[in-house]
Amino acid sequence: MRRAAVCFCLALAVAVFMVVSSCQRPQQRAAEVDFPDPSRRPSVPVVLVLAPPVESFAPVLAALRAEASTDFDVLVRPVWGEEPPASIGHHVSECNPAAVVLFNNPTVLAYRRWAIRQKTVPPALILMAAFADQLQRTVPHAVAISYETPAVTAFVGVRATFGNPVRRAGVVARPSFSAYLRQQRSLAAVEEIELVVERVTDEPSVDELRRALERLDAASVDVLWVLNDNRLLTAQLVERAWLPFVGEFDRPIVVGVPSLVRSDPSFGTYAAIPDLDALGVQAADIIFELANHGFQITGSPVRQPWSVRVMVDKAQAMRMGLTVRNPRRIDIIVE
Amino acid sequence: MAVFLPTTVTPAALERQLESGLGPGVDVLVYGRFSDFASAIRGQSPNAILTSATVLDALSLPTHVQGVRGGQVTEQWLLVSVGDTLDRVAPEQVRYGALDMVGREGLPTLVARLLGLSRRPQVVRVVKYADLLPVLQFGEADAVLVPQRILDDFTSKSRLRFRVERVSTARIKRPGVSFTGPERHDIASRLRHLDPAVRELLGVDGWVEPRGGQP
Repeated sequence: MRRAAVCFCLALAVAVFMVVSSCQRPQQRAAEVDFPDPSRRPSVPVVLVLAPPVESFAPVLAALRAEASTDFDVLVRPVWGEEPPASIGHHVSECNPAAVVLFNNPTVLAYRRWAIRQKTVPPALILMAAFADQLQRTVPHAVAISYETPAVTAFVGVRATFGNPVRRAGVVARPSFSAYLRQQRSLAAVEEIELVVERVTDEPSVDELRRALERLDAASVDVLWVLNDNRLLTAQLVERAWLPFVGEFDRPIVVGVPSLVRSDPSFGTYAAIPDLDALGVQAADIIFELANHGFQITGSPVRQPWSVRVMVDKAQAMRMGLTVRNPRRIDIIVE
Repeated sequence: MAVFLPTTVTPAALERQLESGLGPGVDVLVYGRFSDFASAIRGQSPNAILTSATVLDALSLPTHVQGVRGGQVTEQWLLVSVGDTLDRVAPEQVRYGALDMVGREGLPTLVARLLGLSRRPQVVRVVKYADLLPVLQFGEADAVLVPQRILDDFTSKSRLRFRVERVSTARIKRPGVSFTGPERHDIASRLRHLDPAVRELLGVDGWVEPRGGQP
């Protein structure tokens, strides 16, 4: 059991690291994908995409280009996040874009270092960046689609999938997540779901986390929501606090990382992860919206992603006495 | 056979059911997005195309076999909003959430036709039925268009206070098939023998051959 738990912790650490690093940590390496320029059309405006040329962004880029190419030449330039402002400036002057799309946090930061020195900049759309709502405020003339799936989407999905009424959702959180949780609480309230937050310190001990989880259990929450927070998912906390708790918990556990639903031993029961194709369509429509308003930002500067893919750990659900009501609606079922 | 039929199940599940229902020899490719579907029709020349006949019309493709239910070629769609939202928003400012059935450019025209509007409205485009609820929850749309047959399913998982309006013109054609290859009689016959569960999923209980569109 201990060996399995250690293997699981390692896998989990890698999974969470990959999610966080895809948003946050630049790591220059060979390009995984190539997005060659389409044939340029005279007088067709350009949308410049700045992104690391890695596989994980390809579906969104492909959908964005497919949808936007009716009206725009979508040009992709690789950015790893460590480029000097002049390098970003070179891409912008070369392409003269009507709008810019920025993928992930390092790209946004690299772009911002250039943009804050300019008198005017084209509108920028931020995609697939962690905590995009906070980032968006720091980038001139920017709009963003949040990358984190709103918790209410997952909670309503749990209702539909297992048929249990979700009225109270429990979550353990560190202080730095307060603003994020306020927003999630307000979104959940729309569906009459109360968010029960158990706060822990910035670097919680095993005992502190264990006690927080026990309090949530005692608070009769209908579902446990696990934040994508690598400090709450360290190998030690997973092995000594999360796994013993999860093994005994009898209500759905919502996670935001596919690996946590595929894990052995079981961890998450249900995950709602961004639908990358649909995210590309949503992004394209924001570009069209900008174009319709003379490339000025008019609506809300931060949009929620509204399309998800659903994963369910059927074995864990069965252990909890839950039945998947309509498996044909689930994108990925882990047997 | 290229298929574009938004349903309440995933495209992969629909593909499995159709392949199983149509039997060996028919390769089914279900597309989840209209633009992928439209590209595939242009680039891959499928032998048969199964989609709403409204979509076939939009693509200027003939409907050779038309799905019906209760003898009706069309199905009613409903306008679903929350509380008194539609009373508070000026009619020309209403943002309608709609499933992308005909592409970004054609969708506002389709919504205008369905709702009897004289101008192209603001449309929030989604790629699957499940996305219609979030656009209401997040206030991205003031109302959404939902097929009547999935209304209970749509409303049952939410605590929003829905207002449902039936607009007589909001009718979409049921699935139809356009054939481009020589296998048309064979595929039409297999469609007629689909089991009831698959037909239910497609929203049809039978198939007819429209006048002038016989395979």
